[in-house]
Amino acid sequence: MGPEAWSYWAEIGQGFIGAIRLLVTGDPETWAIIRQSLLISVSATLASMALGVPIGAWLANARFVGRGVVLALCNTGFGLPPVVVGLILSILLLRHGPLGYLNLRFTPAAMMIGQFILSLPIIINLTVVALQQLNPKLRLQIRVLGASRLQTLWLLGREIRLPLLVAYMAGFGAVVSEVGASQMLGGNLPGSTRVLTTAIVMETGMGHYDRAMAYGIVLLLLVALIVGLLTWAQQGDRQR
Amino acid sequence: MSDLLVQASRISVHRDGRLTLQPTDFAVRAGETVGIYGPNGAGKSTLLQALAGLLPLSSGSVTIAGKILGQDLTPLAYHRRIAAVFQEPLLLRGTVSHNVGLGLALRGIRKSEREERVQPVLEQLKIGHLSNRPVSKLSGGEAQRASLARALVLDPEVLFLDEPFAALDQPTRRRLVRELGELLRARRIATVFVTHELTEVSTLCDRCVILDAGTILQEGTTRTVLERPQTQRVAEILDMQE
Repeated sequence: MGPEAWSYWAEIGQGFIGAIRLLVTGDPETWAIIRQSLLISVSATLASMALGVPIGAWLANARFVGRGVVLALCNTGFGLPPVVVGLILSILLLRHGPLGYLNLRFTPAAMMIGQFILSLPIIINLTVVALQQLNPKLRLQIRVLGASRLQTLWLLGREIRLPLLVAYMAGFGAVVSEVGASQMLGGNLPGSTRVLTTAIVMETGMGHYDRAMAYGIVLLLLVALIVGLLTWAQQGDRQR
Repeated sequence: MSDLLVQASRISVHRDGRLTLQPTDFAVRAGETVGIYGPNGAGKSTLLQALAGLLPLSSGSVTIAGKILGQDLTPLAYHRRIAAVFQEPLLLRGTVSHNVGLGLALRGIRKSEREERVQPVLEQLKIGHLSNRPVSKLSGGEAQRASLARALVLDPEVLFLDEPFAALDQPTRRRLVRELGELLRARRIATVFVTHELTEVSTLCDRCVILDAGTILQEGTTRTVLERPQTQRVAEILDMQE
């Protein structure tokens, strides 16, 4: 290995050690970014669940002309490019745009809206799939047991709680790791719209590998946490 | 007649654009068990589900104790007066006692009262010892007993049974039919019972109707229908079992 290669690996190694130090010592900037990322992505995905699960429950059971088109649109939503969502929302939120009066551009709220749009089709689709895998007569049984509409929705939701957890995790995983929409809608403003992904892009560009790696480690840990939670839930469910 | 509990007048049902139940009259009196017998695809389950208010009617009406479903009575109010058991047990996640008490919980009955009511029914159906067992660990027969208990604990005015024993092995099936017959006679619950087993009709039913292609071909006391088929087609349908 030549001296240049040594220097390269030494720099990367220093960056990694620096990343661990930033995380362990509770560097305020690093933790502010982590907090902001979680706040934006968790709330956007929760909002998607609040709307997506009832829509999915309705779509799973409804019979109407164009249902196939709606389902196909939700499927398309799985591959919705974040930059396109960012672009469309940015245009709508421009000062003279149709939603300009809301003054949301470069705010965490704009990022939440973008992430909400990105995760909604995922949650609708996974809810539809989960409900369609239930015995169709289960709904009849629940109704004839004397359940109101709300009680029926609750009981069906309870039956598919694991797939719903998967839906939440899939939605959260998709939005917490996207960069395009967050960059365009949030603008990467420190202390406000800077999140893990946009910070990684910025710090890498500036050559601050320690910070970029610290954020990368946190993102990886979040993914590991998601997978761990899912595995735990699946195993627990099997034993019930 | 004053003792008519559930009465269907000229009810018909379309499914996927096809008339699967021709305009039909049907009645159940308090305390009697009425069998619906016919070949596969005759429309037996469709008739039962229409009577139970689980299918939209294309025509006609269903009344319970003189109240018209959808006019004098909401579907929810109707469902809280009846109970149904299907071919599959259709139990939900949780233990046997959770499932059996579910209908009571949906009616807002408190946990202590639920427990008081659930355990005796579990004992009657010989699954008292399974009360805390998760339903995923039940055999087919045990699961169907739990499903029957879930219906009976509600003290329904009418019990709808849609081939509840079809998925069980013969010995379990025979035992359950005998036990259910004893329970229904003891509790005098009006029951509509769909089956394609003639022995079940003769064991459980006071009256029966023979259904074919969405039309009732013959109805009367079980003995009369089984011994004196009025048409060649009814005789053929009854002979299919022999």
